[in-house]
Amino acid sequence: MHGDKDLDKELAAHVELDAEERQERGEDAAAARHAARRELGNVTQVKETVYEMHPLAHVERCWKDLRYAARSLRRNPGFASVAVLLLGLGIGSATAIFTIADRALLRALPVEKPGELRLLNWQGEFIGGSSQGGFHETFSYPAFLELEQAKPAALSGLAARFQSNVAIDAGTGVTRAIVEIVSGSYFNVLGIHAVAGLTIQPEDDQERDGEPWIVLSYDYWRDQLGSDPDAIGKTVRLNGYPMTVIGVAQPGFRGFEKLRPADVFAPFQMNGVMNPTYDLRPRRDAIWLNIFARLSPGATAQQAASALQLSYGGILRRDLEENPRDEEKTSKYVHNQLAFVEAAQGVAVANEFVAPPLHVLSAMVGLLLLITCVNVANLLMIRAAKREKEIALRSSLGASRTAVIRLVLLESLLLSIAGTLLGLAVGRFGAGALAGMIPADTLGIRFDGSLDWRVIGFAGALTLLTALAFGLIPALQTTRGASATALKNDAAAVSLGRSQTRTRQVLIVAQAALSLLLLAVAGLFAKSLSTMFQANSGFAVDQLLVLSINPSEQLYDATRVRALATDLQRRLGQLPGVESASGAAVPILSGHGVQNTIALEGYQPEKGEDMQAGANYVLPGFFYTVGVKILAGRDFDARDLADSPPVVIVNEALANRFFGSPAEAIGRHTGFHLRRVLPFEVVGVVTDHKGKDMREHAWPRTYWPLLQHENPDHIAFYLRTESDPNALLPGAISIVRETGPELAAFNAKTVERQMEETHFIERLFAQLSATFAALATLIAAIGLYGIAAFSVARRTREIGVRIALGAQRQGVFKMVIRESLSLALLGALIGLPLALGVGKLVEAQLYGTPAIDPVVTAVATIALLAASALAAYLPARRAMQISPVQALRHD
Amino acid sequence: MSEAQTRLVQGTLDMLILRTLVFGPAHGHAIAKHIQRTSDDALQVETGSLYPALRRLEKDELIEARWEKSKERNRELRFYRLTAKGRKHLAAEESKWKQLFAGVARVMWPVEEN
Repeated sequence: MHGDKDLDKELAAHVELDAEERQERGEDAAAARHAARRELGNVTQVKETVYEMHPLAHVERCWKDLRYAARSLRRNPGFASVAVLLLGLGIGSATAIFTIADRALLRALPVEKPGELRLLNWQGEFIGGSSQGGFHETFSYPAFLELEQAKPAALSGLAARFQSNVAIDAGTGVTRAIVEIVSGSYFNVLGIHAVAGLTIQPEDDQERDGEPWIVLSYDYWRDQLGSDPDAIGKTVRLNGYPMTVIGVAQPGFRGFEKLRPADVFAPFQMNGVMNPTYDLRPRRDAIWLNIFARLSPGATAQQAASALQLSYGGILRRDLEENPRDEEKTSKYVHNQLAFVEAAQGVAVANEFVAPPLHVLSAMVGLLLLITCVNVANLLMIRAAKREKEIALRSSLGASRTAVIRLVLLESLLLSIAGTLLGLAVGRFGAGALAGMIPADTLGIRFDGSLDWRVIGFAGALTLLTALAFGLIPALQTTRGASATALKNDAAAVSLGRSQTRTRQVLIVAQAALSLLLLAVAGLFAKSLSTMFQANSGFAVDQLLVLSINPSEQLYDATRVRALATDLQRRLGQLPGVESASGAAVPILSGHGVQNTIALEGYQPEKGEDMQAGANYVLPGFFYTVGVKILAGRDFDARDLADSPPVVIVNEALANRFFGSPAEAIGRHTGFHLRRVLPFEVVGVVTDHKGKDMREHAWPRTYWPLLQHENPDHIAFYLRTESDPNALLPGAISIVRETGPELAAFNAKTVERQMEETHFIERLFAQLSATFAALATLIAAIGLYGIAAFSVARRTREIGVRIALGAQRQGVFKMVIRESLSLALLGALIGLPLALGVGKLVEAQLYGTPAIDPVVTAVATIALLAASALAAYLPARRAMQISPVQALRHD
Repeated sequence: MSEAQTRLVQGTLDMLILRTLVFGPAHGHAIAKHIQRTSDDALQVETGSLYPALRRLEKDELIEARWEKSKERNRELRFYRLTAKGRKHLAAEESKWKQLFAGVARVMWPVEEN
């Protein structure tokens, strides 16, 4: 109101004129001026009315209100900071989880119009000899070629891909990379361009002599080649074979399988180099590659599938010509059907693996958000109650209801904004931490620092709504009237807050219940994890180092591989600190497992009996090295070479089940299911141990000498030491490099670490649920503190009177604590059945822990009650120390 | 006073102010005095309503204002005068008022039909 000096002048002049007139009429000077002034009325009011007509008035008013809201929040730093903290934690954790979930599961591939992509599936009989990388989503190479030729108009493009590991040397030493082997149409169908050079084109599908091409992924080019501008035309060796870099793909694109980002792309022409021991291209009975397509505009998936089905029939018949099967299978096979499924997210082999845990996590986060909202609501209600007087004062001074409501709204808005900002920071940190907890070897979930705005928006909106609702309602109630009574703060006026108190108590009880729920779940996961890790794996896990090589990638033939294996074993065994060294084809506790169907001498399997046994191929001395005990017979040793009599070692479970006892198994013979001969003599029996992970239960296992394997490819070497296995790492790697410079040693770590990585989901769960439970309990405790403190403050007078009348101070103390505890106990009682129910839901994720575990439940309840007692401690002490005299003066 | 009533009063006051200014430019105090005198004290314009009304009319460009030296009193006063737009607006309002008033009169004091 500083703008209108004219108005001031005018009003002043008016008053003077009026006074003059009165004087002319006969009034004396002073009285005249006085009357004139009075008649003018409330100058400020006039000015205000005039001012209000100005459009800028609105904006300035909002700004002033905002500053007032900020000031009043600043005056209550405790309340404000707690509220913002709660909001930030809740929003942040929700954001982090959903961001990772989105990346892992929901987000589409960064390609052109991913909604148009479809993955080809088949249903029906499988008559093949080999299936890799999935079942109903994989096809043979000849099938792809023929389907591509018969591409119908309903599809604008058809492409195929396969993924595999490869040893890559870009000039700085051999490392491991993931290569996506693609058809010439791949990049065109996906609409991916090269940011430098060219992508693989359809011409590259022709078999030709000369330059084999590869395309680098943008990330690989940036990280491994330092964004070298001269990368195009450079020679890079894949499995020792020189290839030329012809292009770098656009940033953000990492292949068709989201959870396993590809580093390089190579054409199918080069598959022989990528997978030398098993180039499945010519085989009609091996299904291994994914086929996907892009729908033409206006076409449907049905149309495309039906169109392809015609050619598919021909393909199936030609398959049978090459690999005839019996009549029954034949008649089934020719009726195999094609279908398309949506593929905006690419192919997702690991989805079933990742999805359920993420759902559980999301549920936990949802709970946390709920608790946050409830607690914020609580805080706001307490605050509103405290401000009854202030609001009443403002009302009586003429502030309209809308003004008060506006104030409350602005406060809630400020809190929500601050909380959301904090949530952004927490979310970013949390998502990074979460992604970091997931081992890159297992799942390629990377976090690039960008958050999911939908989640932030949703969480922010949710908390804003809560803040509005629970801040507004008491404000509305208070301004309805009865401002005089509120000003007096009579004991009778307390009845205004009775319903509010009830609501607050309900909120606290709800929080306590939810906290108990989370505590119980956290306890279950923790127990499951510790049970799992304490269970005896059967190996000397903390004394072992593992590192793997795959010489077949370097085109080592079988003889060479065997020689290499023996050589490396000897050299690694000579490293200082190494007690013993050995190796196996299938690494232990790594999530991988191989099995065979076996036949045994003297054992007639019943119809439909499962004759599967786990299989591994091991070097001599394996069992001693990894710490597995030999119950009968011997380990493999120098006797068991490539041309020695074929032998096998079995485990306890197999010996007991099929031969009666370990001793009786020695000397018996076994073989493979489909062959008539049983040439393998059992020379040893070992104790049972875990196989691919700690969840496995004991089942029959067979061990074959690696050196007797026809086509050994992958070998994991195990080094046993008394001291820290990590110390052996550099020495071991350099020995591998010396022995075979073109070999890439990978997955080099302690077996303990390997075990942790294999079980990262269980560990993740245990950690996260513990964090959430702690947060939830903390939040509930804060809420309890708030309610206890407020209650004590409100009843100061009453307590003072009590003490004055002779109540024991200790009694007062106990009373406050008891009130807090009873709320918590009520919450616990409500939360218990919920916890049991939820326990049942997550049972699948647990190990060795029943869904209803009395110890866990008891501990959770006690934790909650202890937290509540602690929360009420300070207010109780304050109550105890109330001086009756001061209390009676208190208003 | 309800909003509708307020608007009615405002509108009437606006019209009275414009009518006053037909007789020539005047300052705020004089306008109020004129209305009071001419209505035989039936209408007393409150200062709190007058000046907001004057500002409003000014904003709507129905009147314009200038600080001038008053001849009678030896001081500077803010004089208002009608604009062309203001004259047109006054004519329109006057006709509306006449219709309204006639209607009210007919209801209140119907002419006897013989």
